[in-house]
Amino acid sequence: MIYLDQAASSFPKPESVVRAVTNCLLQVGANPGRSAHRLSLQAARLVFEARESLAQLFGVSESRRILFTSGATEALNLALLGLLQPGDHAVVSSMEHNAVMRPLRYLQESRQVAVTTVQTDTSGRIDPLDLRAALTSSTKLVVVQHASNVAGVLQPLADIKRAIGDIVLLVDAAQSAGAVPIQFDREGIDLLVFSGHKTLLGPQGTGGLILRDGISPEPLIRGGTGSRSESDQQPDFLPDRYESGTPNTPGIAGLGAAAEFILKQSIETIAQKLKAQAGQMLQGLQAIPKVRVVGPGLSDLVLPVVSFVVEGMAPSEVGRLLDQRYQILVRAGLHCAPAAHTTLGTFPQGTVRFSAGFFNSSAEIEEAISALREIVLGSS
Amino acid sequence: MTGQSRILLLFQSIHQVLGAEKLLKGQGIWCDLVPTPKEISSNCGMSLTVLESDRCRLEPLKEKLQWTSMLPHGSERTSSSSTCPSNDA
Repeated sequence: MIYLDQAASSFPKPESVVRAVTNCLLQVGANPGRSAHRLSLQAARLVFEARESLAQLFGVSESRRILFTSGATEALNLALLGLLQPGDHAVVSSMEHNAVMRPLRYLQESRQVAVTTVQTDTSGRIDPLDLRAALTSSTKLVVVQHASNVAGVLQPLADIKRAIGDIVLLVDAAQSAGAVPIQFDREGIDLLVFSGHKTLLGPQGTGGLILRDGISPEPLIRGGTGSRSESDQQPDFLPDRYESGTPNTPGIAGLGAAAEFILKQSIETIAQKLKAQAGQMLQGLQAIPKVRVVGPGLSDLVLPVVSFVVEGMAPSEVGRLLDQRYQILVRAGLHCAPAAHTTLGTFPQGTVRFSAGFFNSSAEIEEAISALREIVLGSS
Repeated sequence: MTGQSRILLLFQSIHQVLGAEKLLKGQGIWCDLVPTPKEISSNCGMSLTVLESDRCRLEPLKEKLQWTSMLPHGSERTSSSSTCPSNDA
C-alpha cells in the first residue's frame, strides 16, 4: 500500500510518537495539573514539555503563548470568532480552506463583519500588494494560509507582513508547520494556527494557536482550568484562559514527541526532502499525456502536494482505480477548499491530489506515477 | 533536606510552576512541588518549596521564574532576614 494522502493526515507516525501516546495511556493516565499527586504532575509535565518543544520548533520565546486545541479548525474558529467584532473588516486570500471561509461567512452573515477576498494568480500565489490594496480603515485582520492543501504553493509571509504593516496577521500553517521553517517571534506573525496531525507528524485531535503578546481573542470555551478554583470566572492568564476542560493528554504527549522528532531531524533536512519529492511528483505527472497539473510550476513548488485533472475521467474515478487496482491512496474532490479550486480553475469537478510526506520514498512516488500512467493510457 | 529552613514560591498557574521547576533543576537548585497551603490564597494549587539557603541564587532568576509571592515555608523560620551579597562585592 502506498499512502499519498499526507495532506489529509500524515501516516505513519514516528515510532517515538506512538510510544509517547502508549506510554501516556499505560503509565501516566491522570488528569494533568488538577490533582497534587505524582501522576497528575507527571501528566502536567508531559503537556508542559510538549509546549516547550513546540516553542523551540516555532521560535516562540514564551511557551505559554502556545495554546492547545483539538486541531487547526478549532484554533481558526478561536482566532476568527474571538477577534472579529461587528463593524470589523477582514481580508482573506482566494485560496483558503473552509476552516477559514466557513467561520468568516458566519461572521459576515451573523455579526456584521465585512470580508474582502483577494484573488491570487491562477497558480494560487498571493500578491502582497493586492492584500495591501484591499485594506480599509476598519480592517482588523488579514488571514492567509502558509501553504495550500490543494496545490502546495507557499505564500510569501515576510512580504505579506511588510505589505500590510500594523494590521494583525493570522497565518494558517496547517499544511506547513513542521515542514517549512517558521520563526514566529522573528517573522512578526501575530497569530499562527497549526495542525498536530499533518506535517507535524503528531496524532489526530491535536493542534493549536500561537498568540503574540497583546493579541487576546475572546475564549471559545470556558470551564474548569485547575487554577483559581475558588472562582467561577475564567482566568485571564495564559495558557489557562484558553484551555478549559481536560486536554487530549495522550495526543499532546504524542505531539511533543513529534516536535522532538522534527527538531532532531532538523526542519531544514525535512524541507529539503519534501522539496525533492515535490519536483519528482510534478515532473512525473506533467509527463503523462492527458494529465493537466494545476498550481505553481517547479520553481515555486515547495511541498509535495500536487493536484491534477485527467482528461475524460472524473477525479473520483481516478482515485478509485488507484486504490482498488494499485493500493495507492490519494484524495479526489474539492479537499474542503472550494475557494482554492475556483481560483485554480477546477471548480466544481475538483482534482486528484497526490500528497507525499517525510515517510514516503521516491520509489513510492515513482510507482504512483507509473500506476497513474497505466490508468490514463488504459482508458483511451 | 529535613531540618533546613525553606521558602515557598507561589505561581499563577501550573505552567509557571513547572517552568520554574525545570529552570531551578537546570541550575542545580533543589526544589520540590508541594500543595499550596490552604491558608494562603493562590491561583494555583501547587507551589515550589526551595531551601532558605538558596534564596540568593533565586534573586537573579526572578524575572524568568515569575513567582507571584515568596514566603517562609514550614515551622522553621530564620530569626533574622537574610540579605544577599551585592554584585560589586
